[in-house]
Parts: sequence; structure tokens; C-alpha cells
Amino acid sequence: MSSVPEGDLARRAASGDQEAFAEIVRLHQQAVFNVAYRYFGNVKDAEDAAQDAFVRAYQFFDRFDVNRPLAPWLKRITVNVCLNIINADKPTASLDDDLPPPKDPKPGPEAQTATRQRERRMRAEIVGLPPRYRAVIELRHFQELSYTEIASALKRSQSDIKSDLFRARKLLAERLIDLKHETSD
Amino acid sequence: MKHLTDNTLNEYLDHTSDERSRKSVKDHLNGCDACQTKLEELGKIFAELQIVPEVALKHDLTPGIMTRLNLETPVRIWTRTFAAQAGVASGVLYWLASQLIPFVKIPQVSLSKAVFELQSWFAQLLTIQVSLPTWQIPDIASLLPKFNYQAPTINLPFSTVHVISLTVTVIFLWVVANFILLRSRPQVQR
Ligand SMILES: [Zn+2]
Repeated sequence: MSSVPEGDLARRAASGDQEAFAEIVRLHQQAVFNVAYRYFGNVKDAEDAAQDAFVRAYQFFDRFDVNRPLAPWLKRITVNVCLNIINADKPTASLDDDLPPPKDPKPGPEAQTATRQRERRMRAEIVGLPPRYRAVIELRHFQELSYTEIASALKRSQSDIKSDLFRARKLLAERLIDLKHETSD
Repeated sequence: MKHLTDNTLNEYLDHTSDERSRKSVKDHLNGCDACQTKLEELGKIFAELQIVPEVALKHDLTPGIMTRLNLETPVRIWTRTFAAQAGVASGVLYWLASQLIPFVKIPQVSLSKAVFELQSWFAQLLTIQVSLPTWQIPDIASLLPKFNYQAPTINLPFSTVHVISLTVTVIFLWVVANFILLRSRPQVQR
């Protein structure tokens, strides 16, 4: 996509170059949007949150170590922005009726419908979790951070993070079992 | 036999436990169906979360974000250059003022006299008589207080050349300052 190394882009953006920042947005908007989409489950709120996340990233760019990769940093900011939106009691919509198409669609129409149903159910379960649980599930399972990294990203203690994460998984497991009973009845 | 706790199972799946405890968890799992089942149930969540794919973004968010950046990012006026300029400007102003002040002669104004004049002016206001049938506009000028006001004077031997060159300098500085302000956009804060 771009021949400019990411470090150079980051350095230029850090010195206030808006063109460089625009390029960073173009490169990372997909990933940032998906973090927010997993959190809210609807395009409108996810797009708003993605925008907020980039504006925040721009304002705090001097705190970013330009020698490190941008994506993890941007995605961590997005999780915090999503949490802030929820904590500010901004009204958010529910899960989309029609999920947007996957970025890399797999071939085969039949397999697709079945997978889409499973995906939809899983998204609904994530969106149905309490905000804090959503954040830890996102950071552990989708961004693959360690407990320590999650704790520092959310500015909470590691034992809090572990207890939230384990409870979130327990909740998800219970709901998925319920669903299995419903579908087999 | 003590079963494995939820914490232990979670940490085992997260690969955060050290080699020794992993070994003891494995040993327990080999001999305990209950814990093995629990682990598998928990493992399913990991697998189910894996199937959630990245979705495609419908449209480019860049234009909207760039517009918001310019609207919402607080402008940092107090840059180092600006501080230096302000410092020089206030220094020059201070010097100019200290040069001019000794020449300014402030006339003596008697406060009690001014108060007395104000009082009598109010008294006059109270005595305005309005005769309705033949309406007359009261003579306002005569009602205004009569201050013996003297403007401060500068005892400098200003010549026409002085005044003209001063005016030209001010205009020149104004144009230059505006040019600088318009050319360099204020830097945005990050
Ligand atoms: Zn056991």
C-alpha cells in the first residue's frame, strides 16, 4: 500500500505533519474500526469511536514511541475510547441486523451462511457483556496482550484484570451452553 | 483430590503459568475427567472467539477525521517563538513607556470640586419641570456638568517630521506583524 516505512510516517506525524497522519489513518482505520465494531456491534457507533480514537491518538502522539509499531498502540487507545463512550452514558445502538461483510470473504455460500450465523451469535454475546468485560476480552483474545499489558493499558491492577477476564469467559461459556440447549430443543 | 481452580485453568490456557505448574496441571488433567471437561468447555470459548472475522469498512474515515483534527485540536499559542516575540515586544513597550512618562504632565484635579459639580447636576435634573400642554425640549446642554477638565500634555518638542516618521514606522510594523501572523499558521498541540 505505502512504500514509506511506518517509523518515518510516525516521526513526521509526531512533528505535526497532517499528511503523514492522514496516511496513518488510511493504513490503520480498518483495524481500529474492527476493535470498535467488536465492542459496539453496530457500524454507526463503531465509526464514531474509530474517529474519536484517531483524534485522541493525534492529540497524544508525543507520548508514542515512534520506534514501536503503531497498530497495537492505536488499538489500545480504541479500547479506552470505547470504554469512555460507555462510561459517559452516551446512548449506543444495539447489534446490527445485517453484519458488514468480512474483510476477507471465504469461498463457498453454504459454509458462509453457517459461519455467519455463528459469527453473529458470538458478536451478540460479546456486545452483551458488561463494558469492562468486553474490554478485557478484546485486549486478551483479539489483541493478544499479556495480563500485565492489559493492566497497564486499562490502568488497573493485574488481579482485577484476571478476575474480569475469567468471569467474562465464564459468562460467555454459560451463554453458549444455553444457546446449544435452545437450538437442540 | 483437590480439583483445579478456574484461575488455574484460565492461566493454563493463557500460557501464563510456569513450566512446573503446567506440568502439575497436566498430571492432574490426565487423571481427572471433571477438570478435563471443564478445560474443554473453557477452550471452546477461545475457539469461538477465533471465528469472529474482521469486517470490511464501508467508507474511508480519513476525511472526517482530518476535519475533526483541525476543529478539535486545541491550538497551542504559547509556543517558544511566540513567547520570545512577546518578551521582546513587552521589553520595547516598557522602554518606550519609561522614556515617555517623565514628560507627561497630569493636571491637578480637585476631587471635592468634581463631586460638588456632579451633585448640583443631579439637583438640576430633579428640578426639570415638564409642562404638558406646551411641550418644550429642556435645554440639555445647560444641564450637563461643567468640568474644568484638562487633558494631560506631553512636553515634548514634537515636529511634523517626528509625527510623520512615527506614523510610517507604526504602519510598517503593523504590516510586517500581520504578514508574519498570516504566513505561519499556529502550531497545533499534540
Ligand atoms: Zn480435577
